[in-house]
Amino acid sequence: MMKQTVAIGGMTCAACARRIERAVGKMAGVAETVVNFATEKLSVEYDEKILALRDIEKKVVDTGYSVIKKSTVDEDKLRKEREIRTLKRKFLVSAIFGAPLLYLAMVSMVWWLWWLPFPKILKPMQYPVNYALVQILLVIPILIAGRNFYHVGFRALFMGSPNMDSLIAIGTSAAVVYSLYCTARIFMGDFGAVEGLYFESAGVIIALILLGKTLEAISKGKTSEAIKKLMGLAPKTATVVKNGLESEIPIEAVEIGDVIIVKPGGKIPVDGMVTEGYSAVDESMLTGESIPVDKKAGDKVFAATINKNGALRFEAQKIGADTALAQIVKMVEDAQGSKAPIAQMADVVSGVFVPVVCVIAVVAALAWFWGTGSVQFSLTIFISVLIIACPCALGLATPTAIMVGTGKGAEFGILFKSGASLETAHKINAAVFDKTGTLTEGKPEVTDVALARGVDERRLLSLVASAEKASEHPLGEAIVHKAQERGLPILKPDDFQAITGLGIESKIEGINILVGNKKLMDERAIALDELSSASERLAEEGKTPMYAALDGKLAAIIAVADVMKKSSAEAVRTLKNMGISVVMITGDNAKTAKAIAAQVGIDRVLAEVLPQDKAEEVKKLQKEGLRVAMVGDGINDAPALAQADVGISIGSGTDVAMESADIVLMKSDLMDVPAAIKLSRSVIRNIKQNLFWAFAYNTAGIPVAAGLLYIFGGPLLNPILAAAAMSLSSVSVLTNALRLKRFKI
Amino acid sequence: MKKVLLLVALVFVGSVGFRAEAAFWNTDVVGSGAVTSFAAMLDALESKPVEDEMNGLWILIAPDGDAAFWFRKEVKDASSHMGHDMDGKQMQALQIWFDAEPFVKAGLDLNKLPSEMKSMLEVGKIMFGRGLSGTPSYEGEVTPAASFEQIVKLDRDLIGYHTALDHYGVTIAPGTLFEWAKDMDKNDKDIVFVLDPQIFIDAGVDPTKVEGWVFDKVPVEDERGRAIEADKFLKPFNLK
Repeated sequence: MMKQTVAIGGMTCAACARRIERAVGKMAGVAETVVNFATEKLSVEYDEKILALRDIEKKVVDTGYSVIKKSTVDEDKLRKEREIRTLKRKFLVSAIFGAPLLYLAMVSMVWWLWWLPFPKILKPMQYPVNYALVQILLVIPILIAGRNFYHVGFRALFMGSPNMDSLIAIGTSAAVVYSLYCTARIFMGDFGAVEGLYFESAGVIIALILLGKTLEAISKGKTSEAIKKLMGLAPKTATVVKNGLESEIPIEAVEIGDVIIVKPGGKIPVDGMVTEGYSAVDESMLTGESIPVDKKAGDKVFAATINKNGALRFEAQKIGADTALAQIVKMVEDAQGSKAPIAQMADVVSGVFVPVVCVIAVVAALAWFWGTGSVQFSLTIFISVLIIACPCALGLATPTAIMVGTGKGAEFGILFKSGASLETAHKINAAVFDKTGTLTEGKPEVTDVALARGVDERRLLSLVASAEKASEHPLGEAIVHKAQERGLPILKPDDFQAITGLGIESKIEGINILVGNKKLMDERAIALDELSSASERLAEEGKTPMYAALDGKLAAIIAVADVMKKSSAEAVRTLKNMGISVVMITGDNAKTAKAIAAQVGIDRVLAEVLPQDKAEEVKKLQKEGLRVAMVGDGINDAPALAQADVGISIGSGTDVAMESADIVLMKSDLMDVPAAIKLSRSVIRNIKQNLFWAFAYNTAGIPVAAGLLYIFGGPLLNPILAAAAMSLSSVSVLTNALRLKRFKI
Repeated sequence: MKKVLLLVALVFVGSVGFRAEAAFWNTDVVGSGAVTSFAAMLDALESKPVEDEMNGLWILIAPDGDAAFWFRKEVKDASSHMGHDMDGKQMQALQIWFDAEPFVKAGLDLNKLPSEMKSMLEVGKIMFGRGLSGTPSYEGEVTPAASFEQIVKLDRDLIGYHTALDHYGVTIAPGTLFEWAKDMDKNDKDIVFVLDPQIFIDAGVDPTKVEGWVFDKVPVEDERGRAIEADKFLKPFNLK
């Protein structure tokens, strides 16, 4: 199976998206199709042995839409800008001609506008032909500006799947055709037909909808600004060293293995590993972390990050679509392109909405014609129902909020991999944290030093660190790191020997140094009594004791532990305050695990869980009725991440974990776990508000437009007001979605 | 922007074309229809309009003799005879007059009427009148129909169409008109004297008690074509 994304042009509402989904979905070999109206993209999974992408693209074109070839960030931006410019121009035309048209119609018809000047030559009861002809002249440019509604709307109607444009096309065409008929009647001497002119309704409806579309296009652009910003971060060129010569080449020409130089202030062009130099690199654009990260030989650097103060030379390791930036962009794009389950309902409603509205409009118009005998009144009802019922607000309600939400998440370094994950995260009521590397730093550190009588701590640490320097054991590295941190001298050992599974033995300045576990001490018959109580205490605290003996006598116990991340305790507390139970899962024994969990305030511990059993433990929690978020970083966490309702992986973790997760936290900051859930809750609340208003607007608007209230002496909806309300509903939904941009962690 | 300019130019050209076309085509269907139907109405009248030679007016008297519509034939420059009002000014070019008696019986306090309505009280008539903005000039025979055509030409704004009654009308004063049917074959009110009752109500008239006049709410269009309902005194006649 192959998964591809195709950019679609010409969609005007959610019904269009549904139509393409249906058309492509019916093709043999297609497993899944998702069309996102907001991102204007089709995601299709298909069997490449049965059909090719060009067949799918042809189907899209045959269905009445265009396929936009993959473009660069700049081209995409230009295309969107061009689209907005065109819409603005069309709106401008419709406004220029619509304003006098509305003026003519309204000033002559609305009593409280009596004070406005009105040309005598156009008075409808004295010069009805002039009045009609001038309106025709004014409405023609507006109809030309809005011709796309007719082109798309009637084509969709004739193809059996009417959309929002069909409603606009039918409604305004009915107004224009009837007005032309009235004009002909005026010419024939029936001057009373001047009251049946609806040119201004058609013109102003188109003008208002063009305004709505323009604002919609601008807002849509804003919803995807975050990802555009991200995409625009990549530099266009790289300075490559070849045969000792530096040359600036386009980013596309960089190959894996190329040696690249980045000067202070420059952007890292591709992912790679530093070979020379030392500098601080601002990675905030990828991780959201504002403090620059120190980079030296052996460290990884990432495309689009900024080299702050020193020159770096690095070897290109990942280029093009493989860079971390490209992966993030793809992940966010996929998330924005995917549909949250809540969107499915809106799509289904939108799909059946238009035909149902057409039927309601016809039935209401016929009923009123039967009741009043007035063609004009029935036509007003017909147009109002069609116009007010355009389901564009409904179609925009979910995808816009998802787009802004995922974009906002990306800004903070929280990558939602799908709309579904963004939606599900708000339901989470249990968060399971893997211990090592997730709650803890994943790197052991010296936490305690218990000394025997008469031993100097600095001297001891210096000797032990010097002995461990040659060791590659993580616990030894922790001691070396501690000594370096304290500025202690690292001496050159005269002798060194690693004792597998037990520790090391070394000789420095004539002193015999033995560092290792209890077993090593026992083997060498070194008495531990002096520090036995310290040893027990450290074990209870979940720390690993390392015994150090100098010249055959116990000198100290150095405790090493994987320390908690600074943010762990606060993250746990925040989650608890949000009503989410927090669970720690670890392979440690129960006593140690509980001791560690207590440090960060976790009450429930799943200890002695083998890596392969983590997913099963998550399943058990789910059986308890909990909606579980699993937070992990390692390969061993991948099954549990996949099993959980929402898998959250730490960005510093393995690729496998990130692949299995639904949400990736780029900063490795656990405070992003509650932040992701909070963002999800905000997005879902926003979607619900949008859907409520879109549904409420349509369900309330249609009966009013159909004249239900009018029967009981209530108001009747003018088609122009219907168009204004319809456009406003879309704009209000978009504005509400854009409020998410103000979300703060 | 080019397209916007092109569209503006298109509309401009269209407007110019429309004006040229209007001259050729005569888009003033109400004006021309009013002239034609007025002539047809005159033909249907049993008592044809009589000429008031002294004042240069045609007098169209209602079949019941209680009301009349006067309209200008020509401008006279004589000075102090009957054709001129008390100030020596020329008689107004368009007038409606009618018997004062039914209104007085219905409570009219004549002192409360504006002076311009009382210039014919000495002969028992109340009148509304107005001038014209030009002088009629004829090319052919001077007939009542030709004089009315001159009025339409000189003061086209006074001519309107009343949808509810399918009438043309000439406005004498605000709310006060002389109306005639666009098509007398389809209309049972071939001519109608229409008065705004408010001025009489203000002068003490009980509108329901005015004999010979119908007091009713009538769907009308105001001068901008807004459909409204207005109280009117009506004196309709079916000529056929």
